[in-house]
Amino acid sequence: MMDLSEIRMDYLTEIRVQVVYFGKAREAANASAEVRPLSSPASVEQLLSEVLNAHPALARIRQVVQVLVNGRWASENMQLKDGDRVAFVPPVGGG
Amino acid sequence: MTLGGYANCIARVDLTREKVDYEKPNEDDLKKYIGGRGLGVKYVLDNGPNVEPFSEENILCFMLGPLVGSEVTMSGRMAVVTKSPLTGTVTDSHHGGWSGARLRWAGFDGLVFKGKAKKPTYAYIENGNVSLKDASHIWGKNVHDTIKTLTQEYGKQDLSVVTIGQAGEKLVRFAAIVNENDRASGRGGTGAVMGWKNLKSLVIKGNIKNKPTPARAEEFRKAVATANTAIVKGAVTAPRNGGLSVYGTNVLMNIVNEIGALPTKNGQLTQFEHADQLSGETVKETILVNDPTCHACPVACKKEVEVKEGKYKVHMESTEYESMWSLGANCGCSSKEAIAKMVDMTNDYGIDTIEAGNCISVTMEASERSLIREKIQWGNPDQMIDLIHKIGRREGAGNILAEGAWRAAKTFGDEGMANQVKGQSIAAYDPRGMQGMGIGYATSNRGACHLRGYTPASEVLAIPQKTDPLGWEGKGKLLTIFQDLHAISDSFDICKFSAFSEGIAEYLAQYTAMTGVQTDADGLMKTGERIYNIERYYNNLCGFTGKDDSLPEKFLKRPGSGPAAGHVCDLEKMKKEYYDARGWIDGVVPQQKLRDLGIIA
Repeated sequence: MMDLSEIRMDYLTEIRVQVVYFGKAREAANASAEVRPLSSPASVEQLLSEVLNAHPALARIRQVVQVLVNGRWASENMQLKDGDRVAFVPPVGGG
Repeated sequence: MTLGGYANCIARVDLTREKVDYEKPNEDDLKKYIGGRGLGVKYVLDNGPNVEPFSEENILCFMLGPLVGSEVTMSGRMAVVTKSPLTGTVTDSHHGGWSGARLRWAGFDGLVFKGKAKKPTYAYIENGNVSLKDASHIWGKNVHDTIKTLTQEYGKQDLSVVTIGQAGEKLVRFAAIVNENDRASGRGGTGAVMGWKNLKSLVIKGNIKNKPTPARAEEFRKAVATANTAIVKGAVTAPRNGGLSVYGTNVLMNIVNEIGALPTKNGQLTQFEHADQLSGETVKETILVNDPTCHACPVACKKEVEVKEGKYKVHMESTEYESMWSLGANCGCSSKEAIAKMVDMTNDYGIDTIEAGNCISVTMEASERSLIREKIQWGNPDQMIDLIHKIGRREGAGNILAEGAWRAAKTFGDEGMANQVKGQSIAAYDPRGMQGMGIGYATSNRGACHLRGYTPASEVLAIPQKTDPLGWEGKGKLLTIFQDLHAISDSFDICKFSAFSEGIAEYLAQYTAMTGVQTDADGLMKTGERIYNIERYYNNLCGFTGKDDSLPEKFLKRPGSGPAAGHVCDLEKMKKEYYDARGWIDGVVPQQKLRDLGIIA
C-alpha cells in the first residue's frame, strides 16, 4: 500500500503562489494581492523577477523590500512550493 | 556651569497648601538623568517608595528634556511620571503635539504636584509662573469640552491644555491625560492620579520666542541639520514617502499579522482574518483625510480620519496601530469606522485605549465561557461602545472594568484571562510570535509595555538588523540595548520614532551641543542604563522582584496560530540571558551595581 507522502508529483511543472503587498509595495503593484504562476522549481529571486516585470514601479523600492514566505523571513534563494504565500514588506515603522 | 537647553526651573506645587515654590534642578541630577523620564523617576524615588498612588504623598510630575521645544527634529514630547494606581510601579507616560514645547517656552523644565486640592483646580502656567485657579466650571466635562471652554477663556494663541476627562475624575485606574491635539499620556493611569488630586487641567501659554538656547550654537546647528537629514532621507521616516509618514503606525497591522504575532480575540489566536480591513493601507484608501504632526516633526505620522455618515460618524485625530488593534483584532472587531468612533470616545473620556480594549476582550471571553451572565459578543461594536461609556463614567459593569483588565478578570473568576504583566495589559504584539516582545513585556518596569524596549524594530522591521521573531537566543541581550536607548530618548523626550533613522551618534551630537555636557556614546548609553536601573531599583523597593517579571500562562503553554503555530514564549531562557546582561540577581539590582551606576553612594 502506498503512503501518500511518498507520491512524487514530478509532473507538476507549474506552481502557484499567493503574493501579498504591504505599504508602498501595494501602491507600486497597484494591487493588494494576486496569485502568480511560476515554473517549478522556483526561488524567491525568480518570483521577484517576475513581479518586477509585471509591476515595473516596484523597482523603485526593490533594494529595500524584504520578503516573508508563509510568515517567515526568507532569503532570495529560498525555494518556493505550490500554495506558498509570499509577502513584500517595504520599510515601515510604528509603535 | 549652567547647562544649555534647560529653563533651570522646576515648579513644586503643593495643592493642599495652594503654594508654589520654584527651584533650579540639581545639575548633577541633570547630568545623570537628563530630564523627562529620567529626572521624573529620580524625583519619584526621592519622594520615597512607600506612598500610595492615590495619596497626597504621591507626586505627579510633568517633565521635559533639554531638547524639547528646540529646533531638534521631533522634540515636542512631555513625560508624566508618578507611582501608578494600575501597577504600583513607577510609571512614565508621554504625549506629543505642542504641549511639551509650550511648557518649555513658558519657562519650565518640569512641574511637580503633591498633595490634594480642596476643590477642583487647574494650573495656569505662563512666563515662569504657576497659579492655581478654580476648576469647578469644568469639573465633570470630558476632554473636548474642557479644552473648548478653556480655549474660549484664554484664546488659542500660544495655548496648550493638558487635561483629564471624566475617567480621571472618577479614578479609572487607566485614565489618561490628553492635550488639545488629542495626544495622550495613555498608560499607567496618570490621569487617575491627577483626578485624585482634584487637579483638572494644565493651561499653558508659551511662545516660541522663548525656545531653548544651546551651549554651543554652531555645533548645535550642524548636529540638528545632520539629524534632520537622516529623518527626511530615512526609508521609514521620509516625509510623504517613508512608510511611517504615508500610512502611520497602522502600517504594522498587516505585517505583524503576517508573521503570526497579532494577539486576536484576547490572545486565543495570533492571526486575525480581517486584519487588512483595519490596516493603514485600507484606512489610507478610504477614510483618511489629513496627516497632522507635532512640534518640529516633518514625518507627520498621525492619520486623521473622517467617517462621514452613519452611526459611527466621526472626525477624529488618528487611527493608531495600538488602538486599531486593541479595539479591533483583540476584540474580534473588523469595523474601522466603529473603531475610529471608539478611539475618539476614549480620547474624550481620557482613557488608555490599550487597557480599554483589553478590558473589553476579557469581558468578551468571560461571556463566551459563561463566567458572566451578560452576552457580550466578539466583535460587536455597539456593545463595545456601550462598555466604553460605562468605563468612562464608572457605571454598572464599567465600575469593574475601570479597575483594569487584570482586576476585572479576577472578579470574573479567572485572572489568567488577562494578558498582563504587573497589572498592565499587553500591546499589539503576541510573545508567541515575537519572542523579544515576551522578555520585553515581562521585564518592563512599568508593566507590560511594547515601548520600553521596542524589539519589533529588529524582529519585524529589521532595524538596525534583522532577527528571527521566533528565535529566543540573543533577545535578552538585544532587549537591554533597546531599553537603554529608549530610556535616553524618553529622557530627552524626543519622539521614539526618531530611532528609525537616527542612532546614538545623532542623539549624542544634539545633546552635547545643546547642553554642553561632555560625554561620548558609551557615556550616553551608560546614562540610559542608569535610568533603566533607577526605575528597577524603585520597583524593588516597592517589593517587585523576578517573580513579577512573568507572563500569563497562555503565552508560555498555549501555542500560537498561523506562522506561530507550535510556538510558545521561551521566557525563562531569555530571562536568564537578560538578567546576566543586566547584572541583576533574580530581577533585583545589586547594591554594587547601584553604586557603580552612581544611583546610590
